[in-house]
Amino acid sequence: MTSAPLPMRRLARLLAVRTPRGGTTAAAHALRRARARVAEEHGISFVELLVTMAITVIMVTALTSVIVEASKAEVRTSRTTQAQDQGRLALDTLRRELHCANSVSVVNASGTAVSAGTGGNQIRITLGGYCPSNGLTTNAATTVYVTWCTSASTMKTGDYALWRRASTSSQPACAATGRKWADYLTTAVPFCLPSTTAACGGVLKTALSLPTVRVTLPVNLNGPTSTTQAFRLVDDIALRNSVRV
Amino acid sequence: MRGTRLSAARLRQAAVGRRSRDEGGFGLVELLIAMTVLNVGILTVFAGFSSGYTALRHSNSIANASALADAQMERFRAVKFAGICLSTTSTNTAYVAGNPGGTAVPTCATTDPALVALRDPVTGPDSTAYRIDTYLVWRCYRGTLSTSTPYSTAAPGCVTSGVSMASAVKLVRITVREHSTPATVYISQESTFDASTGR
Repeated sequence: MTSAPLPMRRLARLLAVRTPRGGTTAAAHALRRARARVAEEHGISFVELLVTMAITVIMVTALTSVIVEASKAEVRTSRTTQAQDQGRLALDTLRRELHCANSVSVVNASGTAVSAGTGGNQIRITLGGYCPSNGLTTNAATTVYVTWCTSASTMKTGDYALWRRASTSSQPACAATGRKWADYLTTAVPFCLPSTTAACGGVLKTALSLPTVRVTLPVNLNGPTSTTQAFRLVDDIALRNSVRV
Repeated sequence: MRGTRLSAARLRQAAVGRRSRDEGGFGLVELLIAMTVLNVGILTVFAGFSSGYTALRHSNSIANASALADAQMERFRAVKFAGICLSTTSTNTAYVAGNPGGTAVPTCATTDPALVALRDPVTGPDSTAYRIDTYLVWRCYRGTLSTSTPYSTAAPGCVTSGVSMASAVKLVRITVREHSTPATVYISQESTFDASTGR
């Protein structure tokens, strides 16, 4: 009968949980229960870790390739846009100079003036000191000789770069020095002077109109043979100080 | 005093018990909510990319359209003042909404195929199609335009109370629009031409 008092004690303990006086006992119970539950909680196993890591590696690899491709595309777009912008800026500057020029001639690579309707790789411009765009003028009497010409691009094989050289003493020869205004041009001969009988790019000079210079700036980052991403600036710039013939 | 301590202990117990009982990972609803929130975030980022691309394309179109407008204006610079006119041979008419208003300069026989009211489609530097509308009207910066004797529609004058103030100038407005939707204007530029230059 030694076990007789035990149920009584147990009952008392159980009752103690519900009585206000047995509060301390109840708290101890709760703690013990909580500890037991915490002891059951084990962390992640090795296999789980491996699976998680494998999934993470796959995800990171996929994401990295996406980011690398996006970054490449960004660089390509940026270079294309820059090359096209340079072409536009070059054409705009050339337009200002040609409008103000008092002498213009289109010259080929060997330095001789070409006949009407024939393309040349350089254009020689004489600017009066009154021209705002010559950039060298210190006084109104100074004449500035400007040479715009193409030479092989150092950025892309088969392409050409457009250079501008200026001098106050004499007409500068064509050389890849001075300021580079455009690159990735797919033609070596962007300049052409049409006459009423000899056309430039299919366009004749209109009778009784001012002479015009046809400037063609085709820009392509992929080289001259590529047809994708082709960009072609064409303009017939009027020589406003010339005579209408 | 005792009573309050007791109830605090009971609360603690209840909290510990609930927490350890509730540990059952994510529910489906929680997962759905999390995925929705994540989706909203990702879609926002992609919407940003897309609007950036659209803006880039539009600015590119404007740059190309302005190159076309410059080239068109250059044609008027090359001809004589009398030759600044739109061709009689072209039956196409320019988009009405962009007209600068005023008396139109009479058409004439010009040999330049570019001097027409409407060129559509015109291939831009980027190989896409644009349309070029050209408007040509008389302008008086002093006085009002008079086409009655001694003036004519071909050579009007600018008068105030019958007194000649100045000669009329020709205003050329070139508007480059999207080929398929002419209401979309990429660029519009104007220039005036005076009779005293290039007669």
